[in-house]
Amino acid sequence: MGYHVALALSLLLGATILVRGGQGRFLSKFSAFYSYIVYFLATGLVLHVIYLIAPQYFVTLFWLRFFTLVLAEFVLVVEIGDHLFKRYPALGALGRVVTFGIAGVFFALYILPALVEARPTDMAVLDLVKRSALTKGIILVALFAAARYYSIPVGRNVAGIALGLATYLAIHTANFALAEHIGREAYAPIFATVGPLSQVVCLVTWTVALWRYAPGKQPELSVASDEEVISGTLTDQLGRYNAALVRLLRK
Amino acid sequence: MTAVLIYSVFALLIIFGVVFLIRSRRAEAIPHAEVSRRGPGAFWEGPDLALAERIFDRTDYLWLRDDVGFPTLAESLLRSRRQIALNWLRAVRKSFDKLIRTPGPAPGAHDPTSAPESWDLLRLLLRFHLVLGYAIVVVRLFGPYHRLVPSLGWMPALFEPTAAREPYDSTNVPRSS
Repeated sequence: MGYHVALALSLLLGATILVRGGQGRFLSKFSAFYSYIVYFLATGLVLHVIYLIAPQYFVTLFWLRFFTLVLAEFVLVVEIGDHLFKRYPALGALGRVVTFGIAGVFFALYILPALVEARPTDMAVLDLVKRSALTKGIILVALFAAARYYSIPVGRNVAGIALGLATYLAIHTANFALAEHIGREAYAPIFATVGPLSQVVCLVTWTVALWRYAPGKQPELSVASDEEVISGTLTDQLGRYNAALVRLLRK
Repeated sequence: MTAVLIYSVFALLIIFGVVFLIRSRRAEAIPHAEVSRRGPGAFWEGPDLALAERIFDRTDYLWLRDDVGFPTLAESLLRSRRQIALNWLRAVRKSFDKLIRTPGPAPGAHDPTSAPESWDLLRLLLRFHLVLGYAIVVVRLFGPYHRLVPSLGWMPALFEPTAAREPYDSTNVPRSS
């Protein structure tokens, strides 16, 4: 019962986010995020209907939806990285490198070994979700650490999306770790409450953060001085830094 | 139980880490308009380059130690030059990071990495940090008079870009008079 209340609340919040985005005409600014919300809403509704008319398929479809959402969260992380650095040509690809770099390393060293380990399926699923949630959480922290290092201003919308996702991922990590340790049977009542609750908390954060379009303070484009015009493009300037540094160090 | 505790700590670190990084960034909004005002070439032009070359030039040290015969004074000079060299390298990094923050025109809804130069810029960024990090370690461990790039001649692709591909080759860098 609690699950269905949480699902209904989640659908309501998701619909609110979509409506506000449509009213503010900023759906296209966060295309992956709103695609995620649409998918979340559509599959949630289908799941609800399946529960009412064919409950024997509910569990299978629940887990199918769950795993597709786990994958879609990764796309959200990629979009957050793109938004953080998109106004800075030299850092445009940094978000992708950080995201795919950490994801690749963690997949090879942390997720894959757990996948190939022989154990019951339910334990393997719990472990897989826990590890993927932790990986995405670490990527988020790394992205914002890089943004902080370069003093990149973070807009309210992107900050809200990241905060909601981080909260959701953190609760997921702890919840799935506890379920794995205590055992699915004994932990089931708490697990069934905390999971949907984390989704509601995340959606509330997103609703507040995306109530209106607020990209944050945009960096000002300064009028190029003569010196800057002479010095050429950013690529040339970065290249000169590299060349000058190497020449000095070779002396 | 230990694993659960570790994962719970990681979960808390993720939430507080993101909150901390978002909040601290907002509090320290920087005036982007000031970026690059002085011009990024300051570190390899005129007096600045002469200063840098002086820092990494071992002539004074050798003169004090071998010609004049003051090894203690020479060691003292070495120590102070090491600190100056480290400060100079850090200043170069700061200046480079300011240049990196030069904003571009607002992109559309398209992928920010779709521009062909974005990966080239990132390569230069990573290369600079790699070389600078290496230099800081060498200066810290062996001092500024150690040959900093002793055995990287076998990496011509990295350290000697061809003129055709990279017009900013070191031979184009103006030297001080």
